[in-house]
Amino acid sequence: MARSFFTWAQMSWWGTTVRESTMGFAIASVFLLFGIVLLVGGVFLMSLRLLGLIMRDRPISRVARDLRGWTLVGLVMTLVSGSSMWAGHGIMPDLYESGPFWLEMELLLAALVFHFTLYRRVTSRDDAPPLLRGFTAVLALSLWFGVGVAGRAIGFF
Amino acid sequence: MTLLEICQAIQDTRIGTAIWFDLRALGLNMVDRRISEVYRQIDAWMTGGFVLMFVTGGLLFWARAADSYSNVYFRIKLVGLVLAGANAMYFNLKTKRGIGGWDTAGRPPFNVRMAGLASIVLWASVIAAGRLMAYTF
Repeated sequence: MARSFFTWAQMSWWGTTVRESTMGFAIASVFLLFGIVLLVGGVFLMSLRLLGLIMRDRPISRVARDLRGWTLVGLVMTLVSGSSMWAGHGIMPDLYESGPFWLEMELLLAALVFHFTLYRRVTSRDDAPPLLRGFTAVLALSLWFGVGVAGRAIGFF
Repeated sequence: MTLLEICQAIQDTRIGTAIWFDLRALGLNMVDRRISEVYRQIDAWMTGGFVLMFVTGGLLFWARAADSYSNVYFRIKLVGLVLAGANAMYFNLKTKRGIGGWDTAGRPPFNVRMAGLASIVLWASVIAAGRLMAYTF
């Protein structure tokens, strides 16, 4: 079932366009990086605030509101460019058979769920216990960094 | 995955902190905060990021110096780095002198906004050239 979904995406005009244009895949990977810069940069600064390392005089909920918009822009950019790379990849490496690819997808799913539930909650209030704040910050950094490393690893296994 | 690849990953994510100051200079984010305040809070992390970037970048170059030197995207990347550095230096030495006049401005004067925009565009081109480099080795 999943296999035919992969094939369908590869055969669609979208996948074909990315695959057959000379710079299509390279351009998608550049935009993936732009998205990562905004997304990971935003999560990084938010985590530093949760850990009490920067902007201590500004309430957490306020910092969260400062960072939310552009972080979301970054997230959308990574999802659009990333799925373009998925649809536009050739037969090598076969993503369906790739361990790191599925690890990346699992981590991405976990990161997304976490981002819009616990992370969202803890950053929206100013009375969360310090231990919960620290846990949220460390988990946010680990999950997103994990997604990136797993994605980068696709090319090597 | 090799150490080299981890360096590359760090390279690619380092600019994420500096861009938030650029957005403030452009008047697009945290407009109720003093520009000097945003700068002060992010400064140490920006500087740390750049030091890390030059160390890992130097290692990456060292590993493939000959290939890199003849690569057109590598040259574009170097030009972008130099211009980004010049832009930051000009802002710090010249533009910032008048900060008293626009520190609290939601929409700073034209030259301040241009410094922010130039920084974003230049760093984006550094990232893009660096990535395209990998496709042309």
